[in-house]
Amino acid sequence: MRRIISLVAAATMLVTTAGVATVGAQGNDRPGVTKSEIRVGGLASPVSVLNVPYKDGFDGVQAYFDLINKQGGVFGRKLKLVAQLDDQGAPSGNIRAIRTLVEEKKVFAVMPMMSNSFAGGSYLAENNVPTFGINVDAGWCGTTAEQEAVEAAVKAGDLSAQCPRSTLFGEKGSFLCFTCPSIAPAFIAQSKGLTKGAIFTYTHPSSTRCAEGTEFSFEKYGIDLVFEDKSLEFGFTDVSSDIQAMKDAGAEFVATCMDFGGAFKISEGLRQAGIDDVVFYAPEGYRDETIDKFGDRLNNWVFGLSWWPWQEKQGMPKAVKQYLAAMKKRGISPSEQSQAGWMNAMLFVEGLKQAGKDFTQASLVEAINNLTDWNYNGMRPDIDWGQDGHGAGREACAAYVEAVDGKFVPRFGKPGQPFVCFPENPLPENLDSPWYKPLKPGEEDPAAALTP
Amino acid sequence: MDQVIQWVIEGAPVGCVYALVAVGLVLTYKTSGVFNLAFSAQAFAAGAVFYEIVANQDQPLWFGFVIAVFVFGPLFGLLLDRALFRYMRTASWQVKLVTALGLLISLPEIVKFFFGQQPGLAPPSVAPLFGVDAFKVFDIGGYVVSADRMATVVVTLVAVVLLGLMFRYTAVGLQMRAVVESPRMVELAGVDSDRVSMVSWMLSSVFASLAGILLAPLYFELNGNLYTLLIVAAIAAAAVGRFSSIPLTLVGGLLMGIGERGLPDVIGVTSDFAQDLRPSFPFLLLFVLLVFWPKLRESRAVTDPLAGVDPPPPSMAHEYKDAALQRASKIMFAVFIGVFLLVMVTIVSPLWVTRITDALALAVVFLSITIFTGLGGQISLAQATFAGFGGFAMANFATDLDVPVLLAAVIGAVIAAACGALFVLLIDGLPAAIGRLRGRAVGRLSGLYLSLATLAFALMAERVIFRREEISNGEFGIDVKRPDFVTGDDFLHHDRKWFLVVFAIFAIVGFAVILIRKGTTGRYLAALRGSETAAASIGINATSLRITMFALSAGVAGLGGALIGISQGKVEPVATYPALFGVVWVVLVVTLGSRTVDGAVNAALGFIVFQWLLEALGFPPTIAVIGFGLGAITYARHPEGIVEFQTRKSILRTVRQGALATRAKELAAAGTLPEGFRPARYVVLPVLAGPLGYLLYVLGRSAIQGHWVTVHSGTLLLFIVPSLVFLLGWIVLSDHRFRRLGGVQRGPLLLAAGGGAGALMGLLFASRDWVPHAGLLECLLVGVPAGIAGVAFILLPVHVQMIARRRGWLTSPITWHDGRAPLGFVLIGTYLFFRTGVEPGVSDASPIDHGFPPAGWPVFFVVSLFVIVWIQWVTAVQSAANELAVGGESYEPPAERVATSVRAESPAGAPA
Repeated sequence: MRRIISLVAAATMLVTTAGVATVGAQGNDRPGVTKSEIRVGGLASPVSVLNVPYKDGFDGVQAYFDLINKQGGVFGRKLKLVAQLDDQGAPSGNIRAIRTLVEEKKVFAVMPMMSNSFAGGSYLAENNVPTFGINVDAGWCGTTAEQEAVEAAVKAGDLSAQCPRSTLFGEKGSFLCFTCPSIAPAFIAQSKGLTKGAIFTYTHPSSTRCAEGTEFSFEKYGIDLVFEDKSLEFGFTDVSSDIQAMKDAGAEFVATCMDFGGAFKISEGLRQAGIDDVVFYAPEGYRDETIDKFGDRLNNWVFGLSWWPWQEKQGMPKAVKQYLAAMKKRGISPSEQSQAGWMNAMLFVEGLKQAGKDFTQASLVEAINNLTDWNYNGMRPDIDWGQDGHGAGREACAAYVEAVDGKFVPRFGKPGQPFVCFPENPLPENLDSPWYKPLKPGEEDPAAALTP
Repeated sequence: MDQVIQWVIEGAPVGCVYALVAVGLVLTYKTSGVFNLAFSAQAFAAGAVFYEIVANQDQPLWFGFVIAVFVFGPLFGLLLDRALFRYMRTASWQVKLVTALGLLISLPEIVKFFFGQQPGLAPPSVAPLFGVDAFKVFDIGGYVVSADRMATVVVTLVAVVLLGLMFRYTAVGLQMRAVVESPRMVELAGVDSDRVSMVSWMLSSVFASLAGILLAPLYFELNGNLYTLLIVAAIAAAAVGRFSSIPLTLVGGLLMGIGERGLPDVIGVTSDFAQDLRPSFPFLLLFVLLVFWPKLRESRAVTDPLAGVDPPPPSMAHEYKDAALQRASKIMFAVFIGVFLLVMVTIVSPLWVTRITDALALAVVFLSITIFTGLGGQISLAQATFAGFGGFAMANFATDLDVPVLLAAVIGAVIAAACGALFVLLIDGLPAAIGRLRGRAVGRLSGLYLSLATLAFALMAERVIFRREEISNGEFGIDVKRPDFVTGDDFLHHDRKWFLVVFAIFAIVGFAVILIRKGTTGRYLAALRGSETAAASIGINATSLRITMFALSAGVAGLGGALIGISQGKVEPVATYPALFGVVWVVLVVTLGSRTVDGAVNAALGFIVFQWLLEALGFPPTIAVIGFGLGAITYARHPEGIVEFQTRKSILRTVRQGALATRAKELAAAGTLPEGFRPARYVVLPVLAGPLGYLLYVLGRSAIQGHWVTVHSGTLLLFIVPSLVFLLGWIVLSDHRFRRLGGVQRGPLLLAAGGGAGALMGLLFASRDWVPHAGLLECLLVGVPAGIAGVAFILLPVHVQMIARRRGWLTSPITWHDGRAPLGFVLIGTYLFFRTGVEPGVSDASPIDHGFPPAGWPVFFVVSLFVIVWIQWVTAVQSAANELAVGGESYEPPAERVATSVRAESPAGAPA
């Protein structure tokens, strides 16, 4: 009897579940939108092979939503982050979490999407779900083959090549040309007067392909590549041999295509070997937490940023101040990830406003792709979502900060103009003539002349 | 020579850490027989405690060191010994290994749960304890060494010297040395071996803690994943000492560290070969030692000498069914499968179809564990790797050679089977051939050593084989498409079509496993598991049988791996088939039941559904790993698996109730049926009516309105309250009746106390506004019955136990153990009630005023489970009451008769 009852109950539950999802699956072009709410959901990898606090992205989105909701929301609707899933950094987990957001949670948009795996990108693109997140993976552009095709076209000079996934919006654009020359490491080395460089990467494709860009710029701008190791795995434990080889080769500058944790381990390895004057370029890790914790152990570290440095007080845009104040209020240390979440939410809200009161998923996507000079209210240089957003950019702008005795100090820019810019396609012959952004009143934008 | 000195200087510190863990490993292995694979997890836990105290809380270094090494370490060792391993002294090696594996996977997650998921960067060094700046670098004759590394060597030397002195000059040291030599001899001399074991656990945990603290600065971070693999290096070091000699173990550790440092210089720092081999060195060394060092395999695992005559495991649960029940089960099973398939292809959402398809693909892999462990009696930790062989072979054949993907999956299975056969030839055949050349017989690798070899092989394959460009397209992985005939949504959604394919494959494999179990191979394997010598004496060829078992198991895993790859649309070297998944899978399957197909299905469904449930309720997914790992502890009590145990228990109850009903009929016919006799359905149906009625009401209304209706607390209470009142009334009446029969006389007082406690909880919830959608009345309406029921779940069975004992019955129809599950669900339900009210993002999981599912249905799922457990308990208690009513002093419970008859018929032994 009990077994029968159990079976009946289980079957009833199953049917209920099934029915639930079937009813919910009935399509409409604005799921998750009610009279009073716009519901979005996101996913991050708190448990990741990398030492990157992706879950901070939730705080960034929530903080911006709080700000907007306090002002009455968008078209009278409150913005609500209804799900914060964890894909554990695994492709299968990523796909499952994304399908859960879309099919079960019925979200209008996926935000933030912060993971080192973006296997679910194709599903989101096929279902035209507006998606916002941090771009560290080729999945923001397309499949591996599609990304490679766009990269090849760009390198061949075809700047009209565009990524096919036009519904996905990374915080710094949805196309990262991993193998294209990367100006930042060469520029830092030159600015510091260093001529012997070393490169470290993980074995992961994003990391090794990033090294190709660094190799190219080293070669182009006269930095001698004296040592390179692309064989490190996530969580490597021993760099003694590398350190010895670097020492023997006299490396003065290290460029990594790694998370902060990986680069820091190499730096500590050098320190253990009695070497503490090598300059490090780290693409990731600029957050108050790291400088507070490691202080002068980060001396000689230079970080390249795609957004306004928080230490550059002169001319700081209101949006940056709002973000920093919001983080302070929430008791959270500012980080790239939370700022990316904040910027994702900004773009989302702007897109909704542009799409109008009767917005749909499609009209939101269209509205964003029509934004030609979107700079997150000054938080970063312009993105033309009709061109740079999903394809090659005209200019390469970055801000730099250096860790000096336990503090981040803006470098290489000008007061109130932290972004150092160069032409990107094609690259300049030398790095002697950058221009600085944001432009001062009356200044002409050199990038305008570069428009393809 | 200079280079060698450099290797020694740079490799010795890490080698010292390996040695510390290895020494601890050997200590406990020899004194308690437990090969504690969780030592590395203990090291990580101690490292985390140290990091938290010193780096996060800014407390003095010495304080953190003392707490982590001399307080946390020994206490943790004491806990493991007293709470767990002392009860396993005479248990089989499988039980000890599975328990240790459970700890290995769960402990790091528990630590991360408390201390955070992010690895701790820049862990503090112990160098300042010696008055040296942590960042100081010494130049010794041109060789540079940091204070960190020097401190590690010094601390290790001090620890080992102290250990040596303790062994040499203290009584307990002498006893430990004696136990290491011969535990039984020591016991005959009157030494309390339990005490010696306890001391060795505490001591070895101190070593693990030291290792945990010293290793972090050498790795530059405190990272649980890195610590997990530390154990393999430690095992390799211990293998050098043949798992018994502590000095040789120390030497082994140092050689490991120095070898690891020197290897890149020998093979090239950045060569492709280095990329593959560098991280695999410990695994490779362990594998080579286990396979090619005959002396090692000759040192037998520590077991009780009487282990060979342990009773065989209990019979399969279905053998306890009587003929009628077997018929009913077959019909029910057919109906269930029919309904299940119908529902899956019609109304279940594509997402859920996908989840269940994933579970079925995983279940195919789990069936390989059923073959290897359930039938073969061995434990392989490389099943994820064999799944990987199948998956990558399938992907390569399907994409490079355009072989149809299902055919490619079969080819993948064949290749995996060949790899399995090759593996057994490598570990058995090659050493045997070498032995023959040298004129000595070499035994087969089995038991614990076989498991260790499979672990080493799995970790090595993950790094050396799967990451090769030719195998997996490097880290990119290979995209895989489903068969053409399941694409498109023409007559059925593509996910449903793929589900049907996977279901069919699973059914075929499952049926094949049952046939193998019942057939000659299964019986031969059972004979081999019992005694290899005896099996050989009746003409069973152990060699060919072993190859068959390895090949079959690997082939099935390969097929499952291929299905997983096709389901996910991609196979990747690290993410799709992680070697450590193999450990989690084995733990899960043997815990739930490795002997049956049901066990594999339950394990796979549990793996998927439990993770989903945690996600839906806003818990971190890592809790699933903690649950699976700690669940392994139950393996010691139920080696047949929880599912099998529960099934047998349920069948016995059903048989018992059948006998009771027959007796009641006889008594009724004779007009002597006691007044208190009430068939269980008289109680169950009113109790079930509320929840079931409410569900039907919501479904009906939703169907009429065309959308899910909002759930209002008022309507919910209208349905539930009558059932609840009935249940409470029945509890009070039953308590009264049992007291009259001689049960617990303070029953009403205890029930009132439970109700009072529930009311207080309700008040607390309401006053703190923990459940925003429920007021004081609702909180009290939930709290008071929950409190009364919570007490009653234990009290009523205790009544029955007491009455049965007074009557001199050998067994009680139910015991207080039967109340644990419903009580647990009351606690879980209370927590969910709280959690759904307060957690941001999770509050949508509350069904109240949020609309019926989808948002709220995870809670409904849990509530439904609760109702099922509740109903089972009500039925059990009412049946027990009926037994008390119709039974007498001369009454022999029907289950005793059934068990006796089964025992007589089956060589497998008696039910629990």
